[in-house]
Amino acid sequence: MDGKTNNIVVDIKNVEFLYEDTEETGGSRVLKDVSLQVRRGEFLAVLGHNGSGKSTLAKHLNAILIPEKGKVMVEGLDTSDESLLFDIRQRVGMVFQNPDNQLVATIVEEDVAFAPENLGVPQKEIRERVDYALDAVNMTEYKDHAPHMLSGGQKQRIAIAGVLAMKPDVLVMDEPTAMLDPAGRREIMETVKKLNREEGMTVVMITHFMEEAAQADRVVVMDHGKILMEGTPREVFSRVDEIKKIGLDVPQATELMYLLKKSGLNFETDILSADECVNVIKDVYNAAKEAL
Amino acid sequence: MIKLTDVSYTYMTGGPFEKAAVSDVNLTLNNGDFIGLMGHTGSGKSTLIQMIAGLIKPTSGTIEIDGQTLHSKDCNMRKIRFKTGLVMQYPEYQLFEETVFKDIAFGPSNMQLPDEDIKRRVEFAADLVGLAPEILEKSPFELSGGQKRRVAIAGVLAMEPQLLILDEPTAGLDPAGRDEILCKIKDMHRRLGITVILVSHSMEDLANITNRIVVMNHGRVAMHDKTSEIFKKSEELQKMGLAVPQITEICEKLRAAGLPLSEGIYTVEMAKAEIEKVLKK
Repeated sequence: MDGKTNNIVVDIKNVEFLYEDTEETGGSRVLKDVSLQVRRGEFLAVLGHNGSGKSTLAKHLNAILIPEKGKVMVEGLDTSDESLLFDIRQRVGMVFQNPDNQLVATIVEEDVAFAPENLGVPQKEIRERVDYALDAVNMTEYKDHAPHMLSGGQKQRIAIAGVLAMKPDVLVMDEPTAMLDPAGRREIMETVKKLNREEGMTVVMITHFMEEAAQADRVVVMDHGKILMEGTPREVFSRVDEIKKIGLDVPQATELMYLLKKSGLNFETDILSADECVNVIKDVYNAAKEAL
Repeated sequence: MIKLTDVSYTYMTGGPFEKAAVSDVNLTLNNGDFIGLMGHTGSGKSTLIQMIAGLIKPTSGTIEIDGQTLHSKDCNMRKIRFKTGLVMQYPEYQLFEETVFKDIAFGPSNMQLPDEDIKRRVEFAADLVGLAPEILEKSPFELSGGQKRRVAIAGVLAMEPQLLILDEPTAGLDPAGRDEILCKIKDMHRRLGITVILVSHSMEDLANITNRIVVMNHGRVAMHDKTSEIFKKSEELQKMGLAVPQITEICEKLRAAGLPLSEGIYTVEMAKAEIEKVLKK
């Protein structure tokens, strides 16, 4: 595990970025001296309020945007070198918020085959890649369906399969669950965790849902174009006051423990999940009952 | 009062892709309520609100609003549409005017109101959604996403609707933007005494803000009750592809472990108060 995590897939070094449309951004920098390393095999969540620069950062990972200052290296390839564009985009695949904007074909398996076809992959290998990708997102039984007849979660899984068929090393997702219902959100989180844990896929996920970020290996919090916090979900979410101050939230389980602690009960605030929270409260309750 | 009787809606009737989106809905909503509408994708929520707003006509059944049957001969649909405001998903994409003022004024201008009346309404609506007066002269396209969305909502509020329907007004917003919009909507509901129907996938949002909830499942009304009653049925909700807030899940598990907590706790504050009482005894 350690040898793996030392391996850097994307290296972002002192990146600055400014959109040309200065009226919208008020002329201020969207990214200010951002440095971040994405480690091979990790599940990294990026949090931040609207306008904090997190989508802009994500777009730097596969050369959709090129840094104004600083460098982004994808497995040693410099994203500012236009001749490397194809290699970089093949290594880093992107999934966006709205699945309807990402599907191109009228049949699911044709949609998934779109990228490898464009990459000139031989026919036989396309078949293998499509089968693998559909299986990885658990959508094989829908391969002959029309994408527009599927649910939001299913459509988004097809979009992920479309990226997997390129055989990327990193999967970058920009709020992939924002438009989905709770069942769809669960489907996507299960798919992402499976890809990460079983297939070893490196995942970078931007999200507004704290419960989703709590499931990552590492969390980065962006604020006003800078990286404000970085650490395990437990480390980051235990800083409840700071998180709330920049307009973000913590999972409800964490917030409950925080409020109870504030009111004088001796609880830890580095609680992330419902089950952890239940166990801590249950233990305190049972101990108090026995003491009587 | 909004009264739906045996309302159904079928898309592409008679064709090979015929699909029933809403089936046999009977529902009575009282004026002044803050109603949450939830259901999985494709459960018929959007079709239902479009029918209530009078944009599409039920395939069968009737919808009455304050005693008037929609689409009937003696019903003035133009008047009904002025009474009902619908804020669609991602409404910021519907902005089109040169200035924020003109965009918000578009609805009331079409109501042929005198200029000073329009001005009053625009300023009132802008104030309700928390837009500063100096923003009114800006182009809507210069604004941030959250501001654009508030402009779009203000455009509907300037019509001074008695019934306000919002389809996922917080989708894609960060927690601060979400709290701000919800807080404004809650404030509006309180100040104006209007009826609000809020469509949302966020159980936490619905729990914090509504007093009644309608749950749709496969085109039918699966539940309709007070908010506190709805979240007591976590198992049924999960079967329909929905969820209860994480805090409800925690309290349910604590109850199962023997802690004497009430049923159907759905906000962090409620949970904190009850757990504190139990543990400090």
